[in-house]
Amino acid sequence: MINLDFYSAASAKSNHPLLDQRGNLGTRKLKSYFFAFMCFFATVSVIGLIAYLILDTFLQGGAWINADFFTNFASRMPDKSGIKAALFGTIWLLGITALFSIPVGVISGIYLEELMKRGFFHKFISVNVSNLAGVPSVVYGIFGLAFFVRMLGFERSLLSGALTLSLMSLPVIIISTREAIAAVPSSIKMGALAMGATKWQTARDHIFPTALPGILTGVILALSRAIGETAPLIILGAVSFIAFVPEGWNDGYTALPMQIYTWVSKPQEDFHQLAAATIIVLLGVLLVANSIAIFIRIRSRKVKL
Amino acid sequence: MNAETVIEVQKVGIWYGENKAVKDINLSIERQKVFALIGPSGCGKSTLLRCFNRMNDFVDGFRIEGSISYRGMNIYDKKVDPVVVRKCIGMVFQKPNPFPSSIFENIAWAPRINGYKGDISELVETSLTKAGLWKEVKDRLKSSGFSLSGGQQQRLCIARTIAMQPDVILMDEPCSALDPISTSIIEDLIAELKKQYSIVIVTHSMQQAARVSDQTAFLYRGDLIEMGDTSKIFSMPDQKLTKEYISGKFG
Repeated sequence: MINLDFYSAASAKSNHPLLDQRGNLGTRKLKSYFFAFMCFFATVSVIGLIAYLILDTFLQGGAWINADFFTNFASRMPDKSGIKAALFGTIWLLGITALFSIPVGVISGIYLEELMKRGFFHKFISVNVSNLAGVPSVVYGIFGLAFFVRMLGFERSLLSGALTLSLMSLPVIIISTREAIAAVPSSIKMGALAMGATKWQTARDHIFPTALPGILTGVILALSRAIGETAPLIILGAVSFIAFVPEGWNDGYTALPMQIYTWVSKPQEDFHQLAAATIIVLLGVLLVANSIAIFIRIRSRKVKL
Repeated sequence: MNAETVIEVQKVGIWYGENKAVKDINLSIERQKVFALIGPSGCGKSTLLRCFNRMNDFVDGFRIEGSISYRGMNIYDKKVDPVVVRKCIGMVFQKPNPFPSSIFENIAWAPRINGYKGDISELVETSLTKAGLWKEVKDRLKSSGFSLSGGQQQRLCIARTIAMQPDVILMDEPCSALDPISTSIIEDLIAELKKQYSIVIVTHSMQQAARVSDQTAFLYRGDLIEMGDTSKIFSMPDQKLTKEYISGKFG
């Protein structure tokens, strides 16, 4: 006969084990509810804060968003001010930055994770890439100023800005590519290699497509951060007032965060509202860019399964 | 060397770092036979199997001494490229590992990257037929390899290996993740396949070794304890240890 009293409290009320053996269950469940509440509280407070900020921005700037706002250049008069130059500047920056950082970052990630021989040099590079991901953007700005603007003589052009933002994005892209690749089940990799495939064929046909969703997530994160940056652009000499749209990589430019920064520093209230409107457009650009990436991600998943 | 020998293992010792996993083993594996490697967990049977197509090259700290000859040529010779070794000596893994693509693509991929000149569709059909899967999947070649059951997935992996037209097929506990019915289908398939290929199978199940193999080697803690015809190993083994293992006293 099993001793059913072993765990039960001293004061058994009924004679059924399912009712008598609750022991410390009450406290355990309380802790569980408390943990769930804390999780809920953390989530709600963060989302609430963001929702408040977005709402506030819309209330301030919403009224300023109309067709003129997109087609006018910045001006001394708030009524005639628009973000044409900044919007085009940001799109140019985003395009050129993506052009440089995605291929270089993804290929470097594949090389570091899949192909490079493990050893001192590999560790050295890995540690440094991780460190670079934590370097403040101003430092990238100073490097860009010294290297691209001065040494290579690119001047205060879109190219200097985009290359600097690319450098800033690279560590994040490389690290997330490596993580996505490391998450590919080794059974797939071994299966391919055991069929007489070279490492490159295995990487190209199996590892890369399987890792693609993860890689895209990293790319989205990195590029979103890049186009929201102001600090490096200030150092690199993005101009705050320009009355033209950049037509090539060597043109001067301004960008949405620059425009926001300029308008916020002005004393007039109207300019602050213009800045709020610009923030809404910047959020819009980010949302569109992310949607495109998510769309690609979902499609690539459908092909696979 | 016997003309019928396809793989000859001579004084092979295998190291993982400081740990010697396999100790000075000599074996010879005959053509168009099923050769079973049995022994308790950690005896080195999978390690040895993975050396036959140089899959251990991917393990850090792996070192091998002695020689493994395939048709008279040491596969660890400097002149030999491991990619070619793996083309001639295919492998089926413990857990079915189809690629995340269609059934057709699963099979067509390896021949295509190896520069197969013939008709790929025809090759896919013959490979699936040989693996006994054609009838079940012929109407849904475009659906994902993952849509198949575990046993079908394993047969897909066998078909995929056959499509490379290998000479030897290595099987690393091919049924350990499968139910009894799928297992018996795969065992029948092995019996069919040995008419054309030489098969080396690692198995945890002594019953399976007794059912499918022609020859058996018993490994224990990295040592080869006994090797011989399966009927003899299972009826009157020379070694006391072998007898204890096959009668289920340990392992």
